[in-house]
Parts: sequence; structure tokens; C-alpha cells
Amino acid sequence: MSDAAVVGATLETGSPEPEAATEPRGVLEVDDVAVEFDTDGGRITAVDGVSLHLATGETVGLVGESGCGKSTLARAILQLVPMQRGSVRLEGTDLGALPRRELRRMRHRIQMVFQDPRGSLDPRMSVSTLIGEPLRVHGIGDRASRARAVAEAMELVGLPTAVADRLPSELSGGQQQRVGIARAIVTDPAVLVCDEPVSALDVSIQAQIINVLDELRDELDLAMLFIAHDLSVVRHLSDRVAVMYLGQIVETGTASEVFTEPRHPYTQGLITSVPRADAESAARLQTARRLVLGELPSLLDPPSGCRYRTRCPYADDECAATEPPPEAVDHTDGLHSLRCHHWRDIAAGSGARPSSNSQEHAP
Amino acid sequence: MGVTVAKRAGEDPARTSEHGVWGRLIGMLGSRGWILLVLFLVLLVAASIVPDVFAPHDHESQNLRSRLLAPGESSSEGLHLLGTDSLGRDLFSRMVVGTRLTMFIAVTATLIGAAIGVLFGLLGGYFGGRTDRLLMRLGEAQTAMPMFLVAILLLSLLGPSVGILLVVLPCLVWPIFARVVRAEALRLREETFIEASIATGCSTSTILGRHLLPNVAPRILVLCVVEIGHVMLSEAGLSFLGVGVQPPDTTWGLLISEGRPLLAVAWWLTILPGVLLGITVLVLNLLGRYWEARSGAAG
Amino acid sequence: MSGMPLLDVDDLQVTFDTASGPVHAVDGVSFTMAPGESLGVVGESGSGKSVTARALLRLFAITDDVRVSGSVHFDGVDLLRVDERRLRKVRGGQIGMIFQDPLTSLNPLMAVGEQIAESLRLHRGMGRAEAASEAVELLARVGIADPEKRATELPSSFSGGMRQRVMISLAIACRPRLLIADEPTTALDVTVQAEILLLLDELRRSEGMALMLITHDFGVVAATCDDVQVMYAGKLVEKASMAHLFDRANHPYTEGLLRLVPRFEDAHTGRLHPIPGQPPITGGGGSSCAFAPRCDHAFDRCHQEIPPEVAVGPEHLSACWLAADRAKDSTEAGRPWRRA
Repeated sequence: MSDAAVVGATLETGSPEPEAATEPRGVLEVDDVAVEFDTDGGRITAVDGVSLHLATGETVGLVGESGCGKSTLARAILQLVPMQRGSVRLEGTDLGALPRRELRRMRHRIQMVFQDPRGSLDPRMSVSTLIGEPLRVHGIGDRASRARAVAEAMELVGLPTAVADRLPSELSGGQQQRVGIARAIVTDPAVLVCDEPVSALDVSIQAQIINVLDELRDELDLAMLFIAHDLSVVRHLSDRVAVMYLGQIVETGTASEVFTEPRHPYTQGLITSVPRADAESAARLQTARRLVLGELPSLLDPPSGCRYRTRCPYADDECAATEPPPEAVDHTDGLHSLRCHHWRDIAAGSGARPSSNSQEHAP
Repeated sequence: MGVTVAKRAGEDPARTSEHGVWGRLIGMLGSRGWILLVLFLVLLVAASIVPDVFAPHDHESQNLRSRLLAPGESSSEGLHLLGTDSLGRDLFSRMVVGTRLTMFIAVTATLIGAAIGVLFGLLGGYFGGRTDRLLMRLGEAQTAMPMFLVAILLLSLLGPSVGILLVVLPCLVWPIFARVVRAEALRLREETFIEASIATGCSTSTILGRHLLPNVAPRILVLCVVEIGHVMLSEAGLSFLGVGVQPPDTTWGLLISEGRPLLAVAWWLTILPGVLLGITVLVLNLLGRYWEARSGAAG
Repeated sequence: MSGMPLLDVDDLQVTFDTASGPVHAVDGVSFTMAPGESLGVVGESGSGKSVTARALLRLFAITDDVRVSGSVHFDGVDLLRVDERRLRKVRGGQIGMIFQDPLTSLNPLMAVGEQIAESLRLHRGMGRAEAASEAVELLARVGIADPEKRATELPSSFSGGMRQRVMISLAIACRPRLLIADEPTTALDVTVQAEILLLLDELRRSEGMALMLITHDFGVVAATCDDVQVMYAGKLVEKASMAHLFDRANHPYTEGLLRLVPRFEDAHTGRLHPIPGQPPITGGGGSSCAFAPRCDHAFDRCHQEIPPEVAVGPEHLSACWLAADRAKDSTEAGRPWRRA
């Protein structure tokens, strides 16, 4: 039902129809972004040529394990870390090309919700001051209209008016994150980037916060980039998903397609690894173990060719020699694409034999 | 039947978090002792604002017939609680009047030093890199020099005056403020809420002034209280050596200095202002450390 | 004596005296574990699940002002009443423990092989050479490649998952009869988590040890444990076999927990059903059902009396005043969240 609502929102704002042959270009266009860091061991490429487009009203989930570069990508999109190459266009404006002062003025259009709800709030500011700060900083409205906007934002995220004068330390973790979200939406941004917004919260509180984000997306015309390692949460919130591995997007498509028919071996392994509360749980983990082998390689020495080949049961010489380019899965809406030489064979069940692996026995 | 496991010192964290002499002194204060300390400071401040209320005699009135009266003796003008000096002036009244300038110099010099130190500390801590190295080297270079001697040199060259004291004394304390604030700023810079403020669109001055400064303010206040005492001591030292405050102005340090030649015949002229100075420095130290321990325990 | 439980916890109470008053972290918990049994303990933070595990071995920080009462019989000996010296033999000997963050429980300045060998010499009286080779053996056992070389490395050179493997090898070094794993995979990525869970399951079967796995994630329990008990505010609210619980969760809190996680198989199907409010931070100790303020089904009695644990099926206990009614309902109609 709310799938329909989302599609409705997309159509209303005049975004390209899903049938379009290319990804919808939209309010946020991330093209070929790369971020490099100096570490103790040398220079690493944390994000390596990532492109992502978000339309208004759309939620894109970004999943991947620690070290895949998803949080770095979020920070690069917000220009909090320098990019080595690529561009981030917000409503047509290239953020990377803006002088600092201009960039600061643009920031009210793209806001972020952080993982650590308590740490992301200044401990000495009251709730209402915190939520009103973005408005003050950007000189939006006068005192009275700002107070109104703060009250509205608090209501939207489900904060009782009684907490307006409290300090962050006097709130529960869930309430703290609501403050973080209210602060992010109070300037009416076009894009909301959520970096693991629920992973620091208790399970019963997670669901509350997910619902808040879900409602906001329906009520405001937001494009949302939702970053999480919890696949079921991403599945629940996202229209489209992108799976990252070692700095690259290895598979992307609509959430329903990627999660029900993953084509990339890594996506398959990732999805199968999620422990589910059902009777087949243990058996599924056995399958997952055959799809993701060994350990995550170091970014200091990334594999040649396909990034995933060192852990892939289907890898062969071609995978080591050439890097697979993003390739669209035909017969679908054109949104589904992945980087794998052998996905057709794997899908047909005739992929190269999963290389035998000593610690395994079939269930 | 219940089994009790490891019951450890569950005392007031303010007491356990501090060690050594200060810790024990703070422990002796108990939970209400600090009210006495505050009361003492309030009296000092009141004495500097309205000395006439506290001084029993005109501090300048000389009376050669009542010279060098010991504490408790009386003259024709009445009781001299703390005795009189070689010109017959009432010591208690002179100490009361001296409070104003003593406090003024100590507080002002500390505030100037704090302002410089906080600014340098914030900039160095937040920006890091070259700015930080430059500012910290400056502080270190200054700390390495025997600043007290430099101060004496400066004051003897330029001629002693309160104005010069307010230039020299802040130099003694700013590196302390800079060091503390820088360490705090370095720590806070890594907190997510600073990144969140950048993402929100705050300018650097907003981040420094509205986010960093308020979060280091409690530490700065505590440090100020302690440092006022230290500056007071330095001023007394300079005045004692004759390069500080000059008569007819009076500070406690100057009183001590003036009494020194008469130590053998009139001990009170040196000892009593010295005791007052000592108690004041102690009170400021205790209060500062007590607050620090308390705020540390609270969060 | 056969039939005697390996672990018999009776009316365990753990109370922390804090500045803001006593916190009843564990409030009258009783359960038993048979040799080789696998038991999952599920709850949110503050439910008392970790404190329960720590209380079994009296593992508290010396700064904690804590009172423990009740009894914990392990192999017939009450661990709450033995002296510290004997307890040390049990810790790391007959009962192994692994924690969420392996880094804090490994000595950062000692090669991992050395640490395992030390434990072997201590608990199993092995000689130096024998202990060293056994340590390498153990590392291989938990799936660490090139164990001879890695045994000489410091914990910091291991990744999170590998570090947890080292912790496990340390915990099983002395062939414990019970392994307590406290959120062992919470800090790990899902693919690594899958491997660690499988490893724990395999070790349990091959070594014949009992496993107590503490987690907030029912999925983790489903993959590794036969039985599960759910804790809330220091009390056990439900206990059942995992297979049974999928179909017949009885306690409203258990039902809420199972329902609030977005089902992975489902597309976006409207809003989630969060449990309103938040868990109490002061633990149990009240005179009513601690869950009542958050419960949709609560009625007068729930706010007045603590519900006892009642049997609602074979090996299935639930502490709810509506337990019997709800048990009847669930056999007639499936649970709303279990759609085909």
C-alpha cells in the first residue's frame, strides 16, 4: 500500500517514470566519487568511483559491511571529507565546486542524521535550541516563525513539548535520535542522509525511529539516502538499494528485486547471512558460509580485477584479470545493475563450481 | 540468605577522585564546608567594593603617639584589632583597603590571561596543524623562560606601575589556560556534534563560540578561580621586591613588604597580611578543586 | 548422578546500589541447564540478561556496589558460596566466557598463542611445550588459517571476527562444560556473524558443552539454540523451545519483540509495530508486572500484582496474567505477524 504511495509521490514531483531506461536523475546526483585517505599503513581508496542518483520522494538504501566505505561516501556527499574526483550535485549545484561560504549556505538543503544520537548533540544546548540552530545559522525566518518551525518539527518526530527545555543527557536514546532527526528536517531539506540512524538503539526503540523516518518520507518531499548494515531495516524503508563492497557499488536495483533476486554473489551471501527467527535459520547460515569465503581483504592492497574475487566461490582467472564494469540486468526495469563477469552463469546455475572449501559440508 | 559481594569505598566521588593533600583537604570540607569558603570570598569582594563599612579607622590617619601598637591594644581612637604600623595607622583598616587593589589586579590580570589563553587554545585545538604548533611553541618558549625574573626586569626597566603589572601578570598565566583549553578542544573536535554542526552549516566562529567555548567554560571558570590565587601571590612577590605596586597605593603584598624591616619589633605587620594572603590563596584553590571534582563526578 | 542439571539457578537476585537508589538488575530468576543444552537469553539493554551471566561467576567490577542472593549450583556446587580461589578454577576452567568486545578481554601486549598456553598451563597443568602446541591446535580448531604463525601475533593484528575466534579458542581451551557467550556477534558484520554462530554451534556439538548465548536478536538464537528465555526488567517473562516460540509466543513482550523487527522477506508493508515507551532503567523490584505500562493487553490486575510463571505448554512458561487465555488463542488462530 505504501509502495503505491511512494510511487505516487515520485510521479507527483515529476520524476522520470520507473520504466525509463536510465536511472532517474534527480535532486541528488553523485557521479564517480572517489575518496582517498592516508592511514598508518599507506594511502587507501575508501570510496572508488561511486555514482548514485536520488529523486525527490525516493529512499535509497546503502548497505555493506564495515569498511566498505558507506559512511565515508555519506561524508563525501555532505562535503565533510574531501573528494579525490567526481561530483556531487544537489538540485543541480555542484557542491564540490562551491567556495566554502557558498557551500555553507547550501547546507540547509542537505542534512544528515548521525549514528550516535547522544554524541551528535551539543551537551550544553537545550532541545529547542538544538532544533532551532539550523534555522538561526541560515537566518531563516524571524524569532516567532523559528519557534513555530521548531514546535512543528518536534511534533513531526513525536517529541512531547515538555522536553523542549531539557538537555540531551536528560533524554532517552530514542528521544535523542528524534532530536537529531528534527534538527535535520527543520530547514526543510531536499535530501536527508541517514548514517546508521538506528544501530545504536535498543530493538524496541529502533522500530519507533524507523516509523518516524517512514512517516517523514511520506509527509515531506524528501529524497533519503539511508545507510545501514541491517538489511531488514533497509529492506523495509528503501525503494532502491545499493550494495557496497570495498569502496564500490557491486549491485544496485529496486529493493524488492535486489532482495528477492540478488545476482551478485556478495549480495547473495550478505542476504543469506542475516539470521532470521525461523526454523531454517541454521541451514541458511551454512549456505551463506559458502558464498562469502575467508576474510575481508585490506584496502591497502585491494584485489586486482573484481574486488570480490578473493572471497567469491565462482571466481576464475577472468575475475583476477579484468574489473567487471557495471552491467544492467536485462528484462528488468533497467534499474538493476551489477559488477560481475559471471552473473548470467550463476543465475542459470551453470556458474563455475564453487571452489571447494575445506571447512564446509553441505547441510 | 543473602551473599554480599565486594563492597568498595562508596564515598562521595568528589573525595575519591582527588588524591593527595588536596583530596584530603577537600574531604575535610565535607558537604557544607564550601559554603564557608564562598562566604569568605563574598566578604573579600564586599571589602573591596565598600571598604569603609569594614574598616574601623581611617586607613591613612597617622598618629605618632599610637605607633606600633600590638594587636588588641587601644589608642585614643579606639581598639586596634590587628595593631598599628610605624606611623600609627590601623593595620586592619589598611588590610581592608588593600583588598580592593589586590583583588582588582589579581582578577583583571587573570581574566586577561584567560582571554588570551582561551583564544589561543581554541584556535590551536580546533584547527590543529600549523596554527596549533605555532601557538603551542609560543607558550612553551614562554614557560621555559624564568618569567618571574623577566617580569622583574621589565618592571624595573619600565618603572613599576599597576598598568605594567596588568601586562606582565597575564603573561604568567595564559599558557596554563591555553594548554587546558587546547586539550579540551582537541577532544571535543572529535565529537560527532562538531561534525553535525558543520553539516548543519555553522560557520567556524559559530562552532568555536557556540559549541566549543560553552563546553570548555566550566573548566575555564574553575581554572580562573585557582589562578586568581596564584596571580595574587605573584603580585605580592613583585610588590615585596619593590617592583610591583607603589605607595600610596596598597596591596597585601606591599603591606608585607613594608612590615619586613620591622619584623623583629612588630611581627604582626608582616605576618598578619601574609596569613590573609595565604588563606585567600588556599580558599581559592580549594574552591576551584572542589568544583572541579564535583563537576567531574556529575558528568 | 544422571538427570542432575549442569547448572541450576534458583531465585537469583542481583541489586546494585547506585547514587539514585537500588537497581534490581536481576529479580528472582530461576532456570536450569542440562549438559550439552543450548539456551538463548533474549532481552533489551537493562533487561538483566548480561548481569545474570556475570552473577553466575560473580564477575563484577570492584567499584560495583552489588548484592547477590539466591543460589547458582554448577555441578552440585553453589558458586555464590565458594571461596574466590575455587571460583577462579571454575572461571575459564569449567565455565568459559566470551564477550561482545574481544579486545577488552585479551591482553594487548601478549601474543595470542601465549595467552591460550598460559590458560592451559594454569587450568590443565600442561607443560610449556605441550601447552604451546595445544594452543596452535586450538587456533586451527576455531578456523584460523596458518595457526603457527598467527599464534605469535598480538591481538591488535587480528580483525574483529578473527579476534572473536581467538576469544572462543581461549574460552574452550580448558574444555569447559558450559560456554557463556554474551552478545558475541553484536559488534561484527553479518557475514562474520554467520561464521561465528556456526562455529559456536559446531563446537557445542563436538565438545559436548552447554551453551548459554545472550543476545537481543531472535535470529541469532534461532540459528544456534534449542531453547530460549526472554527477560524483561530483571525477570524471566517467557521460556520455551525456540521452535515452539515461533508459533506460540505467549507473553505480549515476546510477541512485541518478534513483531517489531521488520520481516526480511516482506516488502514495505506499512508501519512497523513498535513497543511503545521504553524499558525501565531501574530494573525490577516493583509490585506489578513491569511490562504492564507498555502492554496493549494490560488490565487492572497487571498493575497490582506480579504475574507468576505458568506453564502454557510442554516446557513452555510464561509470566503473564493472560498466559492461559493467550495460549488457547494461539492454537486456534496463527499470530498476525506470521503470514504465509
